[in-house]
Amino acid sequence: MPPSQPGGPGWYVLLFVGTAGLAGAITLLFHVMRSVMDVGGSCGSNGQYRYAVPCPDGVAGATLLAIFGGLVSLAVTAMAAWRTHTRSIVMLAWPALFISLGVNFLQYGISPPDGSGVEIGLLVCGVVFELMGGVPLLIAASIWRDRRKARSRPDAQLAQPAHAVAVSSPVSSRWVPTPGPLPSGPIDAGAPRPSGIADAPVVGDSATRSADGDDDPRLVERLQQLAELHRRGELTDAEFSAAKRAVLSEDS
Amino acid sequence: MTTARRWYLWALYVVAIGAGIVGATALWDALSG
Repeated sequence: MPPSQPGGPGWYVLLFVGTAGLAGAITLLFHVMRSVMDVGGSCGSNGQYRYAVPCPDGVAGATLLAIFGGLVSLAVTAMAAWRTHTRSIVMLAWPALFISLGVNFLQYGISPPDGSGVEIGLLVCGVVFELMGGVPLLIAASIWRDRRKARSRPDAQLAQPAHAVAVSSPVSSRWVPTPGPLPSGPIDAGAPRPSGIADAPVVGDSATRSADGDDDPRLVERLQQLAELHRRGELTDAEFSAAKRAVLSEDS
Repeated sequence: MTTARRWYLWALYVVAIGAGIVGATALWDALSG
C-alpha cells in the first residue's frame, strides 16, 4: 500500500537517478557482451591462470558495476516510484535487458566477427532471448490496454459511486444526476433507483416542451449538467460528445 | 493523475533513460580504452 502522501522532491530526484542507473546498467551489459563476443564469446581474466582468450579491457569491472549497480538502481527506482505514487517502470527492466542482449545474439549470429557465415547457435540464443523479453512485454502491454479500455467503458462505471451510473447512460436513461448530495456504495443494476438521482423527463417528450412549442429550458439544464460532468472528468470526451449529440437529436 | 504530472513523469523517464544510456556508453568507452 503506497504512502498516503506523495514524497517530496527528493524522491523524484531518486526516481531520476534510479531510472538512469537502470538504463545505464543495461547499456553497460550490452557493450560488455558485444566486447566479449568480438573475441569469440568467452574470455577470462584477473585470475592466477593464463587464459587462452583474455578478456578485453574493462570487461570485468564493467560487468561487476553493471550487475550490482543495476540491482541497487532497481531498488532505488522501485522505492522512489512507490513514494511518489508513480507507475513504476521497474518491470520494464526485464524486457529491456533480454531484448537488448537478444539483439546482440541475433546480430552476431547473422554476421559473426570471423566472417564464418550464419551461426545457428547464436540465432537460437537470440530468438530465445527475444521471446523471454518480448512475451512478458506483450502480456504487460495487453493487460495495460485492457485496463485502459475497462476504465473508459461506460459499464465499468457500475462499480463507481451511484452518481456515476447515471452518467454512464445520460441520454437513453430518464435519470440525470443532480447537483445535490450524491449517494455512494455498490451498485446493483437491477436495484431501484438510488436516492439523489432525479427522474427527469427525456428531452423531446411532450413534457419537455412548453405550450408554444419552444424548447424546454431543461434542455439547457441537461446540456449544462453534461458539460459539468465532462469538466469534472466523469465523462470522457467521446461519451460527452455522444451524449450531447443524442440530447440535441432527441430535441430536434 | 493530472495531465501536467503525467507529462512531467514522461519527461523525467525519457531524460533519465537517455542520460543513463549516454552516460553508460561514455563510461564503457573510458573503461575499454
